[in-house]
Amino acid sequence: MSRSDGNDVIVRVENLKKWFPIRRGLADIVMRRPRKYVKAVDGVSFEIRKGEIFALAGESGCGKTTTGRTILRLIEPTAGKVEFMGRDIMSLNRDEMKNFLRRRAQIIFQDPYESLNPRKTIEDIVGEPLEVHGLVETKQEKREMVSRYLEEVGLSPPEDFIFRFPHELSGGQRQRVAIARALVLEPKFIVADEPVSMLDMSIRASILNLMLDLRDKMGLSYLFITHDLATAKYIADRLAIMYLGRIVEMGRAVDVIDNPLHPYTKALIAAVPVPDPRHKIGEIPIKGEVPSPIDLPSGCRFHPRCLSAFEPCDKEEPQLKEVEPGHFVACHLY
Amino acid sequence: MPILQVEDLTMYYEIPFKGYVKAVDGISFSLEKGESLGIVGESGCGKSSLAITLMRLLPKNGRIIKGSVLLDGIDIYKLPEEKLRREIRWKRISMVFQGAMNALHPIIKVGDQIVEAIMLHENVSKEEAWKRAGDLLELVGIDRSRLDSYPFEFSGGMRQRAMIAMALALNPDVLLADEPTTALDVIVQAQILKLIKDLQRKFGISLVLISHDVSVIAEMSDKVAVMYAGKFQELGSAVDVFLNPLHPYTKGLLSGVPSVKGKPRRLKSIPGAPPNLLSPPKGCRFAPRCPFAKERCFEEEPELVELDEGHYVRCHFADELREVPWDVSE
Repeated sequence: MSRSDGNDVIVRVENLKKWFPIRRGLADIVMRRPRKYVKAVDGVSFEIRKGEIFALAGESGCGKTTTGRTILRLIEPTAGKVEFMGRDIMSLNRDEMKNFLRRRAQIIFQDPYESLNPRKTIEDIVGEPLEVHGLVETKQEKREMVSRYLEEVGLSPPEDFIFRFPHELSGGQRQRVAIARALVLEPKFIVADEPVSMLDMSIRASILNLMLDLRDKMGLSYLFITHDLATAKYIADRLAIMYLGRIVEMGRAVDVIDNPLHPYTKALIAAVPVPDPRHKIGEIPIKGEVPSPIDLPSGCRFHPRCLSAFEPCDKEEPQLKEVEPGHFVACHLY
Repeated sequence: MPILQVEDLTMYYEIPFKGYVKAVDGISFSLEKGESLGIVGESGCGKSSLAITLMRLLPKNGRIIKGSVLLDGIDIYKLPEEKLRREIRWKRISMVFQGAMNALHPIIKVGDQIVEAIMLHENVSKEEAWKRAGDLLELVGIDRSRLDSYPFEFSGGMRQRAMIAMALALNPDVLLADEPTTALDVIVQAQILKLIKDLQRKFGISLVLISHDVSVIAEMSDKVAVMYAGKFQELGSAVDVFLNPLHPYTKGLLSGVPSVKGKPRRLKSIPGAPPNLLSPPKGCRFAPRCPFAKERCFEEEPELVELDEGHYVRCHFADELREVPWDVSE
């Protein structure tokens, strides 16, 4: 895989793996059956450049959320390497974790109803990271900072919000609070895990636009995790499609969506409904169902469902290769 | 004669000491045999309440205030419950709802559950019913040997297929599908939607599809109703509503939907949030969020009027705003 030369890269992920062990029953232990694993993330590599929105897309269980959390070391990886702003995050000690990684990288969760403490005011929710990191000394300072960021995410005037509780806000407003909380530490990088999928249609666009505007204004980079390719095409500069723990295709979002190469990507895109009554969903070029992530198929893990599978597919695992400039695919057809 | 005719249907939830939640407020439409109507709206707009009102499956505090539901000329609210259960519900109008796949009994074989549904309504032998259950599974793309499986041996998509098989078991005239694919992954969703469409065509079933997903509605519907705050705001052919929307709410909704097709454009949203239906605003219910609202909109409630042939809209200024696109600055 071609590499860009260091300086413009904020996150570099190399051969990242996260295997979750499965509990063995007594019979398994007596019979000395080997321990089994759910290979949620199984050898994923990519880079996110400064100021870039990089989307990870795929169906439930493909490993996109686990990848996002492992990059922030919210989950410890099984193997592989993650570099953030040039430093290997696995080598960071406790202090460095707090003062470097936790300050410079933040996360926004899917469900703004569950990710905000219902017993705290908006001021305390957004102000908490400032206190944890000792960045404010007086209540007055905290209020000023919180107000500034509430304004930044479109909750204005901030006086109307600081004393309120999450249940008094709409879903869209709560997600803005979650974004404000992520921003107060002035991070460089944000993992956004399905940030709009719980929101109503009429509100989604405003949150996506807010994220785009903040990127431009604050020079943020995002890892945007989504199951919705239409949203990915709208927000992302580059896009990676995941299937059963591996990236099967990666490139500029418009290239991947307008000109998909991997048979799985083709099936996914054919399945996305289009807001135009003249368009009709046809036959989806795929067979069967997603296999268990415990007993993965041999060779290419998509081959049992692939309509184009041929001789090498059940034996050899295809590696990502660049078949057009900046457009990578892991498939024996190319 | 239309197979389903709904006239001024109004159902409120009674909340003790507080009043009524006006969830379904004066809904009228008709549906011909084999036709599909898509009802699209945001959460809390009353679309699922409308579905259970059409099935007469109201919770204890649901009150029919006025209106009628005529199924093939029979007013389902005039029938005794017993007769409705035996002769109408599931038999002539049936339903697939969101998360229906979790409604299967976990420790009864799928086949036995379908057989039970058939034998409750029809006077057939167990062997006959078992054979029909097998035919139904095959119809929805599941091998008939799976009649002997338990629901936990099915994937989510297969369970939803089995529920569709059950909804079709008694050859209904009307199928109500309320968010039938919302919990499913996109490929399974596409397969289920296609299955519903194919079966609808094959048997001439009339379909009422309810969804928050504008794109799903566009793919599936001949006619589209846009519901907001308990009322239809716009109703017309799918092509008219999507390509030539008349109501500001429809325009706003459509301008916020991303697509995998075409060039990316800047999406737009609708400011504010839907009203509380316990005390909806006076006048037009969308007026507080509408950038085009004038004084009259806050005073006088607009009627649903036929502005173009077969294209209805509930807005005082729809004609004047015809060429005006949704454009709000954020």
